[in-house]
Amino acid sequence: MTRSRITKTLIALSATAAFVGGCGSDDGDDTAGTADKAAIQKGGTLTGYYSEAPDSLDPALASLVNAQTAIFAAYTPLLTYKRASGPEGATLEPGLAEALPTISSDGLTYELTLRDGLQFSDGSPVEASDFEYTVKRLINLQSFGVGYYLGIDGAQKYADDGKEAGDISGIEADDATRKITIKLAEPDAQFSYKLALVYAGIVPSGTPFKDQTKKPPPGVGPFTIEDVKAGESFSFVKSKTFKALPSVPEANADRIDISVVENQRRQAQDVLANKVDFINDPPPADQLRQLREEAKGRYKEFTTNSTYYFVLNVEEKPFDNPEVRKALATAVDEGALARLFSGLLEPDCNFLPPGMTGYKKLTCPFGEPTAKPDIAKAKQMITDAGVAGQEVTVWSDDGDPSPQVANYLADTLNQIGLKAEPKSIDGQTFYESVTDQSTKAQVTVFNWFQDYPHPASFFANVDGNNITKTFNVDIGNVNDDALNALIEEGDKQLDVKAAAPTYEQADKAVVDNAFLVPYGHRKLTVITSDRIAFDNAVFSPVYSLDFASLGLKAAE
Amino acid sequence: MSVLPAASAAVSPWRAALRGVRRNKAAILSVIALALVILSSAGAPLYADHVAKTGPLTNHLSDYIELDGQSTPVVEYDGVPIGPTYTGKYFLGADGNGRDVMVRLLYGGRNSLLIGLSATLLSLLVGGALGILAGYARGATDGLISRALDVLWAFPVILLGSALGAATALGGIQLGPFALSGGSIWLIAFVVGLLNIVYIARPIRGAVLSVGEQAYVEAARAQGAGTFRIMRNEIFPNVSGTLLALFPIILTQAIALEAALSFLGAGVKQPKPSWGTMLDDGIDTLLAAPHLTLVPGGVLVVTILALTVLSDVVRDALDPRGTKTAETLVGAR
Repeated sequence: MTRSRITKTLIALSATAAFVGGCGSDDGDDTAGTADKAAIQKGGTLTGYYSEAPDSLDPALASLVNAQTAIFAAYTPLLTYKRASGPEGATLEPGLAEALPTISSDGLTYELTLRDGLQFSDGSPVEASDFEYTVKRLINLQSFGVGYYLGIDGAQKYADDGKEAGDISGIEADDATRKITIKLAEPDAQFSYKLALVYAGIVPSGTPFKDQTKKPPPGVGPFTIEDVKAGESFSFVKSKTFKALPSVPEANADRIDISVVENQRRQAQDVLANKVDFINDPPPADQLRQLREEAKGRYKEFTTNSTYYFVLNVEEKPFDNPEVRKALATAVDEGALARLFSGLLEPDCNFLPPGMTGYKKLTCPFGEPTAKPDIAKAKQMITDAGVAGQEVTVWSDDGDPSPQVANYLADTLNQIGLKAEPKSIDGQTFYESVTDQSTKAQVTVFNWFQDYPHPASFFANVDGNNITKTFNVDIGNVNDDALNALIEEGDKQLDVKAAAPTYEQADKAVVDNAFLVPYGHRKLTVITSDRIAFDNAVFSPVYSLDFASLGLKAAE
Repeated sequence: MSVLPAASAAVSPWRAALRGVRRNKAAILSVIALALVILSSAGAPLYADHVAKTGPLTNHLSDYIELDGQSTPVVEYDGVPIGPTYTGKYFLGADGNGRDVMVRLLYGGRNSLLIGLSATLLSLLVGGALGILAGYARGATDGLISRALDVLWAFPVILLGSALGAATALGGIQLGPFALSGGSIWLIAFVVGLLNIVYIARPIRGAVLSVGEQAYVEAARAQGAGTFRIMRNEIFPNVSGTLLALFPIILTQAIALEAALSFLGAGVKQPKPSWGTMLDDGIDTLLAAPHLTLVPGGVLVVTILALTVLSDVVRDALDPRGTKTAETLVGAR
């Protein structure tokens, strides 16, 4: 990825991370039990709660995860992710394209063919040229996702020229043959994954270059988004023109009405009392125990493709000393930290999450997450390193449980002989602050949710080529030649499975050198009412709950 | 020097206040409650070191304690902390980070009381000086001070406090040679004190306007006494009763305001304890761990109640004819 792309991606992600809205694999705990899949009844109206309004319901501008979850049900790109729970849901499949792209040997040219007979939800035909228009729209609207597509040859020039009617030279679309040819300025082995992001959900040519949230534009998908009341509610209505694609089934329900209810306590009570059919965000910590006990069979926890970790700035004392970083890693108690997340954290020392290609459970070099940390050993390491008493500031945002994590870490650092203080700052300015080199943040409480299901999305955070003065993705200034080489080697592989061993090595290198200190992967929850066929619901590891999969239980 | 007729002609304001307290059972109970709160807070390090054997910032997330012969986690895996044990360790339970609530309550009391007291002294000092100056000098000086106070008065106190607290949280304040770093409890005391200046300055100005008309002030002026001397020797002694009556009222306000600001995240910064931050710690686990909010909330209520009773008694003692209520003294905002 280029720096500008990474920057834009991270801005979006930093916002989405605050919502912890979604991306999960199904391989975590499942308190729903092992019931057989229930028969589903087609049709009906369902209801659901969002705890925060989506930032936009225009596919070009929806950047928060809860918004993208909605877009996923109504707009299909050329490629898409398999509608399946767990790691399988990260599989790339053809969406509106007939097949996965044919990629030239130099990795620069992608050829796709649009499926025949596709219609937008307003009945108008889908044309190959609509793809180029969709990309132009991203650029003109300055979408958070635009960075993913600026690698297309001519896209940057189109952006720089500022002429709406201009041409993107790297996209050739033939409406007659439905062929789409995309030429990249430089090889990008992850480009197929970017084509499957909801930003590339195709909209008709002529859709205004303005936010269409009030009346979302026609798309191709199981639902259309209608009746939008900004900040309050919107509805999914089953599309009359959509016919199931091999990778995208039709919706089970006729309509899903979503309301924004900020009070998560009320959300939990309403779903428990079957007053609403599902809630998508984690309930308050003090209601988890009740939900775990009373909502068996309709409550699920799943581990997301995310990693929670401590960023150690290797350019700042005392963490420029590898032994100090290792001492910190030795002192961290992953099991203790999981308690701060009310148990919604899978303790682990890997940087890559379990649902990601390239993940291989590491033998944790500084102690297993299930074992008590060796504080005495860590203290000795600090003494030996000659940094005892050095002042350290632990930075975090102010969203729960980050301040509590910062408090824990500061206390732990004090126990091992450093002089640490936590500093929690407003979430709105946190990312900008800690990614600015002038802040000189020594330790940062941080987390990362995947941009797309590819290890490159994670390793950008420790790639020395990404170091910048501001909006520095590599917050810890990790710049290790061996690690950089591994990341480069993995990133250039077109087949992510072939790159898995390389990413495994990179993961091990990050952990062994304590370039950062991962402590777990976030779990999220889904709860439905009794009338929902819970076992049929799909929890995509990329876009969370697949609304099209929700349906009523068939009458017995 | 003469004394305002509003206070007793024979008894000093201090004696009058003390006599009022002695004659009122509720006031005696309040004094006992306050003394307990103050003494126990002062003894926080003793309790932490010798009874609880842990500090206010020390996490015990994955520790276990023996309870009724059973090994019990201080914090359950689902994040719910242990409730009151009524033993040396975790007497009032633990919080979400596994910290001893009793220890934090005592240390929190130190911070809350220290901030309240410092802020009140600052308000009395600056507000009193501004009030005396405005009331005695009158004219342009009075206009300038009064309008500045009007501006301060115009803002809802919590809103202004939150804004000031948030704005200074990172960089602190630099006032000439005096620097208050972000996160320091003295910074919170400064903000709270600043917000309460108006409650002192206004009634004092009013009192000075009245005192300034008295014959003994005229007499002092006729004898050639300077402005400062008149203010010090004639005006101040005659408004000191009002200042004394205002002291517990403002202290009550200061403690409540600090708790409110800390609860909102604009006051004392974590992990330092104060009753306000402890309330904030517990709000997300209100159902599963109610002790986290009930304990600091209860102590806060007792303290505020005791101070309010004392305020009334002191005010009654200094204003036996009952012409001034707390609201008329400080005004309603």
